[in-house]
Amino acid sequence: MIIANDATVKGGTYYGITCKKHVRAQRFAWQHRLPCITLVQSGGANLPDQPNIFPDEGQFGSIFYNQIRMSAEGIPQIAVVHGPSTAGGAYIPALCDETVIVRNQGAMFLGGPQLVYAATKEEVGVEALGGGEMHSRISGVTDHLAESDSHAIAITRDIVARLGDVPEQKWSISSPLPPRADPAEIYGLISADPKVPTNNRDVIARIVDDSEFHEFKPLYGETLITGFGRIMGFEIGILCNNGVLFSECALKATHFIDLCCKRKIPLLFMADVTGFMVGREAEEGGIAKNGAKMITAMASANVPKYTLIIGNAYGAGYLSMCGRAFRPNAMMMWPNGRSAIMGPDQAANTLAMVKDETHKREGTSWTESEREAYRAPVREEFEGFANAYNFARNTWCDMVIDPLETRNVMALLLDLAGRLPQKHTDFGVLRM
Amino acid sequence: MFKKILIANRGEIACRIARTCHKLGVEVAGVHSSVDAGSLHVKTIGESYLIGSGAASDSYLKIDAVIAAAKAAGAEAIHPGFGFLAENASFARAVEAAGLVFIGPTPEVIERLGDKASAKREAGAANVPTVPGSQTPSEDVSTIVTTVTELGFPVMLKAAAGGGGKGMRAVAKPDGLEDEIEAAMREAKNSFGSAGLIVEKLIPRGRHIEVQIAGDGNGNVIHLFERECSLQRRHQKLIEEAPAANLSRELRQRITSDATRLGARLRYRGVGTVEFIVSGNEYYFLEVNPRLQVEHPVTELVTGVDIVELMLRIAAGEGLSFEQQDITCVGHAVEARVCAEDPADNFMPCTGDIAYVCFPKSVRVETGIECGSSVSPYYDSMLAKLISSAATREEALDQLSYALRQTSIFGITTNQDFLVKLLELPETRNANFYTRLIDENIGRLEEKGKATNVEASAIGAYFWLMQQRPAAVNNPWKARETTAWQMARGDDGLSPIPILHLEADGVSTEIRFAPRQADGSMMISVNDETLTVSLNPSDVGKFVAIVGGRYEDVSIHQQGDRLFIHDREGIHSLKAISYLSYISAKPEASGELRAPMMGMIRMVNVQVGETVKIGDVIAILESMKMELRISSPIDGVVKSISCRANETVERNAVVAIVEAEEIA
Repeated sequence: MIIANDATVKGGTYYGITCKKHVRAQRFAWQHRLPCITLVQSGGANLPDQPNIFPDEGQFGSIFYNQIRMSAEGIPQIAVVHGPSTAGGAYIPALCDETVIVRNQGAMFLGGPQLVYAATKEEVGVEALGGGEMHSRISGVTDHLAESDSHAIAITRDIVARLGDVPEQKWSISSPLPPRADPAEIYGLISADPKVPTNNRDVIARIVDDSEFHEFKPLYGETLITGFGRIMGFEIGILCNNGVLFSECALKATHFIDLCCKRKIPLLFMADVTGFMVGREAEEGGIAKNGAKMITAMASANVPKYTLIIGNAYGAGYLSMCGRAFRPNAMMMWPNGRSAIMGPDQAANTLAMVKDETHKREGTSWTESEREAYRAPVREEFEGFANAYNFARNTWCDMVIDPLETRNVMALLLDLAGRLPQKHTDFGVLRM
Repeated sequence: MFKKILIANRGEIACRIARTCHKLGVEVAGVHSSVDAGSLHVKTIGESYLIGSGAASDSYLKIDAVIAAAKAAGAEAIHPGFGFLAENASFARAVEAAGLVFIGPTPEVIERLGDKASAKREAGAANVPTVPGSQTPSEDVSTIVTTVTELGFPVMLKAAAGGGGKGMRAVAKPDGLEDEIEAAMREAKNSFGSAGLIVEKLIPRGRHIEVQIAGDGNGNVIHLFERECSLQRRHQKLIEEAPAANLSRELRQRITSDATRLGARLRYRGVGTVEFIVSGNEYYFLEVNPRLQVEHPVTELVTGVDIVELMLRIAAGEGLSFEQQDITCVGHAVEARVCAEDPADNFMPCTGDIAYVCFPKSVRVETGIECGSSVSPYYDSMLAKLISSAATREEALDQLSYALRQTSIFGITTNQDFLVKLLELPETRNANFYTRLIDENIGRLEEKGKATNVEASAIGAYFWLMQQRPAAVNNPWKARETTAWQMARGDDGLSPIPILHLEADGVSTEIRFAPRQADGSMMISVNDETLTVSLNPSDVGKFVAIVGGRYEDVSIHQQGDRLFIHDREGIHSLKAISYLSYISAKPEASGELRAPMMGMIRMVNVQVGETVKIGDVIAILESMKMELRISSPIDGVVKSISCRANETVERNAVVAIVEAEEIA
C-alpha cells in the first residue's frame, strides 16, 4: 500500500478527510497484510479542522495506532521523507520500521524553526534542526540517507526486495477465460431510467469467466440471483439483486452465504436494489426476521467480501448487500451506481407528505405547483448525494470503476485475499 | 570404408566432417577442450573426448592426447580438418605409428610442401611457373637485402614456414627495407618458430586463384576446377567463389593442368589446393595446402562432389572413384566468412555469448555456433560460412548478399554488414578485383557509425514493454491485462515521464508509451518522434512489426538488459534501462571525508590539489588509543583540507573534501 502526501495542497497537511482516507488505506493494508510505504511531506495537522483531526478514534491518532499495531503483526511499515515534515508528519516516519530521507530536502521535527523560536528563542535552520544529514548521522531517526527523490525510491525498492517472501496463493486459480458475451455490452444493458429495472442475469454473464454461472436456487426468491462463477480464474460466490428483496430472497441469501463460508469461497455482492418489500403480506411473512437473518449471515461471514454497486442501493437494501458499515474488503461503484436512505423521488414525496400533514393540521393548503417547487430541491439534493462520485469524494466507497474494469479489479483484489490465512465463520444468532 | 573415425578439430569444420560421416554410415568421435565442452561440434558429433584446456597448445595441438582419444574411441582413422594439426607432418607420422590412418597426404609430402621455399622448388621441378625470387630461406638481413636489390621493387617478404598471411610484408621502396625485414622475421619467429624469410617479386594487382586437386597416392591426380579468393583483407580470405570469374578457357586449362601435373609428380594422396597468383595472362605458383580448405564448399556446389567423402574414400584405400572427364563445373557458387570481429574497430576479434542466432534457409550454412554458444578468445573468430549457388555469378552474389542481410546473430559484433558491402562493390560485381583491393580501399568500405533508426527503437521498446508485463500469468498483479492503465482507454496520452531509456553507442533515447489499444497497437514516442507500433509474433523470436502502415518482418531478442532488433537496416543492439534505474543510477560517492570519532589528527598525508585514488589515506586520526585511517572513497583531487596535524576534531567533522575527477 503506497500512501503519499501531496505537499502542493496546503503543504500536505491533514484535514478530517485526509485522516479518514489515510486510515481507510491502512485498514485495507492491515486486512490484506500489505506492507505500507508512506511518502511523507506534510506539515501535520491542519489546525482549523481540529475537531475532525484531533480528538476521536479514526482520526490522526489512529494513523499512529494502526502503524504500530500493523508493525507488531509483522506488516512492514516504511517511510520516505521527501520534504519538510512537521509534528504529526514527523511521527509517521518516526513510527516506521525503516525510514529513508532525502538529503537537503527531507526534514523532520516535532516543531519547525519558527515554533522553536517562539517556544525557546533558539534560532536554528531547517537542515540543522531536522535535515537528512542530521537525522541519519546524529539523531539516528532515519535509517537511509538518499541523494535525491529518485535515489530514495531506489533505496525503498531495495528495502521492499528484502521484506521476505510474498505469501503463497492459497486458492487454486484456473486459466482465466473471457466471458462469452462481450462485457462491453454492459454499457447498453444497464437501464438508463432508474425506474426501469436492469436484467442483471445478463450483466453477470458479462462478468464471469466463459459466461459460466452455476446458479443456486434459480426458481426460489428470483429477485436475488445467487450462484458460483469464476472471475479471471478465481472462484467466487455472487449475490446480485434482480428486483426488490422478499423474505425468500433473504432466506436464500442466508443459505448461500453459509455455503460460501463453509467452502471458504469469497463473496461478491452486486447491489441493485431499492429496498426490502413492504406491506402487510411481507410483515406477516416475517420479513423483519428473515432480513435480519440475511444481514446476520452477511455481517458474520469471515470470507473475503466485496461490494459492487451496479445500480440502485437504497436504504436497508444497501445495508443488506454488504454496505460500507459491514466492512467489505473493498467497496466499489460503477459510475451509474447510486445510494442513499431512499430514492430522490421517494425522499421528495415523503417530505412533501409530511408537509401535507402540516397543511392539514393547520388548515392551510398548497397548490400542486407549490408542492412540486418544494419537492424539486429535495430530489436534486438526494440525487447529488446518491451519486457515485459523491460517495468516492467522501471515501464512502473505495473506487468508482468502469464496468469493463470489474473483472481486472476483482482479480487483483482476490489475488490479495487468497494469500491471507483463512478464517472460520461463527454466525450470530439466526432468528428462526 | 572405415567403421569409425576421429575428428581432431572443432567448430564448423568438425560439424561439416561429421555430417558426411553420418551420411556414409561411418561412426564418428570428436575431441574438445574444456572451454568447448558445451559447443555445437560436441553435440553434433555425439561422442567426444576432453583433451585439455582452452589454449590450442594445451588441447587441439596435443598430438598424444588426440591419438589417445582416437584409441579410446576405437577409431580407425583421424581427420584433422584444417588448422591445428592438419599440416603437421609429425602428427601424421604419429598417427601412422599408432596404427591409425591419417586422412590426408603422406608425412613426406606434407613436409616437402610445408616449407614455402621447398614447395617452390617442387613446383619449379614440375615446370609450374613460380614467382621470381629467392629459392632458399634466409635469416640474414644483408643477404635478404641483396636478394631484394637484385630482384627490384616491389617485393614480398614471406616467412618460409608461414601460412595464413602471417609474416608477409609487401615492400615498395628501399627506404626502411631493413626494418621491414627484421619485423617480418620477428613475426615469422613468433608465429612459426623459424625466422627464415624468402623474397618474391610482388605481383601487382594479382588475383588469388587456386585449384582443388585430389590424388590416390599412386600418381593419379585429378582437379575439381578452380576457386577465386581475391577478396582478402590483410591476406585473410573473406569471399571465395567457384569458378573464377572471367578466366579464359585457355588460362583455366593451363592452370588446372599445371596443378594436376605437380600433384602427379608428388604422387599426391588425398585432397589439396594448389594456389596461384594470376596477373593478366601470367600466373605463378604460390603454395600447396595439403588439406581440406575452408572454402571447399564452393567447389562442392559447382561440381557436386562431396570433398570430405572423397578424402575418406582415398584414405580408406578406395582410390578415386571418378576420372577427370566425369567432373563438370556447373553454375556458380560464392562463400562469405562471417567472423566475430568489429569492422568499426579495426576488425578486432570479439568475444562473448551468442544470445540468439538464426540463419536463412536459402543458402548452405556451415557453422559451429548456436543460441547460447560462447565465443572464446582461444580460437579462430570465424562463426559461420554462408554459401550460395546459382546458375549465374550475378544471381549467386545477390542470393548471398540477401542471405547475409537475413542472418541474425545477436550478442556479438560480426562483419556481416562489411561482407554485404563487399558483395555490392562494383569491383566485385564486374570481377575487377585483386588481393589488395580491400586493403587499398578500406576507407571506402569502413563502417560509418550507424545510427539506430527511430523505428527500430520503437519496435524494441514495444517488445521490452511486453516482456515487462507478460500476458496471462497466474498472478494478476504481474499480468499485462490486469495492470494496464484502463482509465486511458482510447486515449493517445503518452506517459509524462520516459518509462524507458534505450542506449546505443553511448547515446540515450527517451521512450514514452501510450496505453495499448484493443487491437494491440500502441503509440510510442522516441525522443520527439511519435509512432504507432504493434508487434505480432510469427515464429520463435520473429515478429511482424507494424509501424504506421508498414509491415515488416523483424527478429527480436532480449538478453538481460540487451535488446537485439534485426530489421531491414541490419542488427541493432540497444541497452534497455527502465526509468527508475536510469534516474537512480548509483549516485557518486560523496567526496566528503569525516572524522569517524572525536580525536587528534596525527598526520595529514595530502595537500590541496593533489590527485588521490580510492583508498588513499588522507589523514590519520588518533582516538581512544586507536589509529584510524581516513581514506578517500573516490578517485579525485583534494579540494580542501579542514584539519591540521596535532589538532583535535569533533566526531563527524569534515576533515577534507575530494572532488571526483571528470572522466574525459
